[in-house]
Amino acid sequence: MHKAPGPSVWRFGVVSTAVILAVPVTVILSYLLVPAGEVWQHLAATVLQDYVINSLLLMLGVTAGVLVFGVGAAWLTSMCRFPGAGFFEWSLLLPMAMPAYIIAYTYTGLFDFAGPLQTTIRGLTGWRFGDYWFPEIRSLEGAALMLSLVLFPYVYLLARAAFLSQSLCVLDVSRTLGNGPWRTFFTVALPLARPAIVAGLSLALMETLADYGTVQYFGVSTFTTGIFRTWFGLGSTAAAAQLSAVLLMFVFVLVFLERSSRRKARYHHTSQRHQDLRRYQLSGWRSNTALLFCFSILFFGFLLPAGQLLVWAGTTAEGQLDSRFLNLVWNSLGLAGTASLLALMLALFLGYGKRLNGNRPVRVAVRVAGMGYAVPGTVIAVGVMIPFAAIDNGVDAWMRLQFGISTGLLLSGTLVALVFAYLVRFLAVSLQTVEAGLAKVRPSMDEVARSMGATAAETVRRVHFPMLKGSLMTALLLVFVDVLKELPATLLLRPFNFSTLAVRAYELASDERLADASHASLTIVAAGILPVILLSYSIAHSRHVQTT
Amino acid sequence: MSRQLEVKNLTIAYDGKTAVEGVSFYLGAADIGCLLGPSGCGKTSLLRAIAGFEPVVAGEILLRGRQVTRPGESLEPEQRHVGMVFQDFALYPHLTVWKNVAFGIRRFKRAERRRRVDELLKLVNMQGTENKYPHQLSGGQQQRIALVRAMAPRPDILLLDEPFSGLDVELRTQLAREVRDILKRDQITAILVTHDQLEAFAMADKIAVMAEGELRQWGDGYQLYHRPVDRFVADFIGQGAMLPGQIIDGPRIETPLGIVQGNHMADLSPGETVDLLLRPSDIVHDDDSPFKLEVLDRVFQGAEYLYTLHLSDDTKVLCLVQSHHDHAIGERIGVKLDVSSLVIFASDH
Repeated sequence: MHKAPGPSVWRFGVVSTAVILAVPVTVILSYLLVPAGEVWQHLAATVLQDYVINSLLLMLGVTAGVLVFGVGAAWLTSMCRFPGAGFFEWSLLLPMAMPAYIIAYTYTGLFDFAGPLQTTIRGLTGWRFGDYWFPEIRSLEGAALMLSLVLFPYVYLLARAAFLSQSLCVLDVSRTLGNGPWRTFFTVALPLARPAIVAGLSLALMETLADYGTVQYFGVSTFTTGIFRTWFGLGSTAAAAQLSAVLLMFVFVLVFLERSSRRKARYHHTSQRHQDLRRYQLSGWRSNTALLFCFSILFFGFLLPAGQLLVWAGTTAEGQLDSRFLNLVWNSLGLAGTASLLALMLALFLGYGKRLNGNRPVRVAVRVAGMGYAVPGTVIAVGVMIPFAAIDNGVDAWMRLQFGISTGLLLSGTLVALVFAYLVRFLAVSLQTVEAGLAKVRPSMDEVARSMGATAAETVRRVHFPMLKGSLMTALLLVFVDVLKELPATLLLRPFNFSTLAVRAYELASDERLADASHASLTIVAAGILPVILLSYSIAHSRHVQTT
Repeated sequence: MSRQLEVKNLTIAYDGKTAVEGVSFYLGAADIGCLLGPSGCGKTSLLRAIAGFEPVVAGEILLRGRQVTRPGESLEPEQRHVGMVFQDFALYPHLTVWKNVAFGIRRFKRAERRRRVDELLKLVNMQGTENKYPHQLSGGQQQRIALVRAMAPRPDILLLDEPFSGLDVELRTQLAREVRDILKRDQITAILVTHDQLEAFAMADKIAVMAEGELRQWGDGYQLYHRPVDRFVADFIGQGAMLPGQIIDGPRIETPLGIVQGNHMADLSPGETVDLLLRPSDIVHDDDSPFKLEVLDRVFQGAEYLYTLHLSDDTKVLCLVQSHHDHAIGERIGVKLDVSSLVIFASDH
């Protein structure tokens, strides 16, 4: 016979992991209590107002953009029938593969004064600089447009799912009560989908706040660029952390908005009986407008920038595809591979901890560990740098005192700091996937296996692993691609002389070598397409299940 | 008779709350037992303790004479040689029907394994589904696969946790009968947990009625229905009403519907007031009877009408009458008692 081992070891492990992962955010928040220094007062008097206003305006612009693109596309592809609707259903996710900073580089190359479009206009008309008005792409409006073009899929995905889950009955009732299709959309379908739309919007706005590459390149002063400038330019840790803390407040509002919307969304099913939607058949100009609308978003959000990248890559292949580039690829893949594997292992540890010993502290701990997805990479980087540097200095001072040896930077200047920051930010992604996978293995499935003579280890091998395999691969892939794309945290934390594809693209673009940046950019976009394929497959699959 | 399962004085508690208290019973080889009771009565906890998924506070469990649990110590579920069928069937979605059934017998020799799976699939009439996946089966088919999967390793005892509750009502009793036949043919000892007495009657040889963590009565369906030991069992099993009465002498009782006479177990002296349990079949319709009662309600059940009759302001009695006796609500009909064995309880008031 056997005595059951105490679950306290697991619990302790899960809670400590969450505490360690919460260090960066805690450090940042603690700076709210640190008295404001000179630098902060200088910032508050001069640029802080700009940061707040620009960030708010940017969020406003992105809100308008993603709502029009996302809700419009979701309504058309889920409720209407027009040529190409099936194609747009999945292809409208492609812009997700395009990081905002990369689309910003391509658009600058395309629409700048020296770009092909303006050159053509000048060639045709004979105008010269100053003779004509052309919208300035490198502006706040431009940044909002760039972000909207690549972030609208968040709204599109959630709104589409919400529209599809609406039962035909509620829409039919509206029609029988004398409302036309437009009125039905605005008075019934849209309000019912509102929680889902707000949740998608919150996610898009979190990404907006986290963006550094686009706003930096377009010269728009927001919190993220402000943090960089304060950190590198003014060299003030405290002020950078305080700016980060203010940015975090904005993020918390969004997190709250997202969480509460998701909760509400659950109760927005008014009808128990679900009947598949009968789509509106569009014809004539309506059909053409729908087609044009969807195609434009896809074209400007993906086809045009991807095409431009391909053209650039073709013209500059010779000078760029050298051993240095291979080295970049190797660095990026190694880093993304390491981070995604570690994230998966942590997610499994936390997921199983919750499943097996899920008391309240453990559940709270797992939740805390998954909070990082909302926190901008810049903020996490500052929050990692401060404690790691403190540890390094402490160890160094002690070693010098005791043994006369200087240990230098053990953590802060190394890949350890960078990988830790990635884990803080992206653990949520793999945790969510692993938890969803584990939920499919019902407790009774474990118990059946045990009662038929399988040991715990055997149950994991013969039941859990085969059932989880897909989720584990997905978790790996999603974190891998996210790490590959991540720019600001990498910029702040990378070791000296260590570069990745994202950093290289950023550096080349900053030097106005847009065409040379295309190889790195294209590699990131190509990798980004993988999760999109996965996502569109699961969408197609879920629809298939619905109809059978 | 050898005791396949023996539960002695078992107590189970979680977080200081007692779920099962002092339960004892045993099952012989190839017996089918049933734990019957309302939700929260502890029947599922008891079943899970037998399987090894719940620790016990006091008492012991023996499987084929081997002690598998005592307070603080417990044999791992995989070492107990029990089979379990769950409410949600818990079929493995990543395995075919064949592999699901073979899951617990991978230590069998190849040929023996093949023979056992084929035999079981034949037993439940599911040949030809070997390569299907669980989601391609109907609810009833999934149920049968879950059953034979648990039977495959020839467990010492098979535990069934509300195995029919996920299925259509019309299917349940029929399937319960089917499962009973299958278990009997394979000579398997089993325990079923359910809150549905018809399921229990259809399937079990012995039924334990449980309430509030205690075993109230252990017997077959006939005993539970006709010889309930307390008011709870009388109320929980079958339909019926309590008729007030007064003891005249040993076997004779005076009631508002005349004097009844019959055997009973109660030890009561003349003059004491009692409640007499009346099943619907204990009251017969008789136009000549001097006792006329008003029809309050009636339910057509095909061959019979179930009448609810007004006796006094706080007593209504049920009466089963062949359906060609068609009486309207409000009508007064003659009834008389036809009780041979009496079930009486000392009066509350």
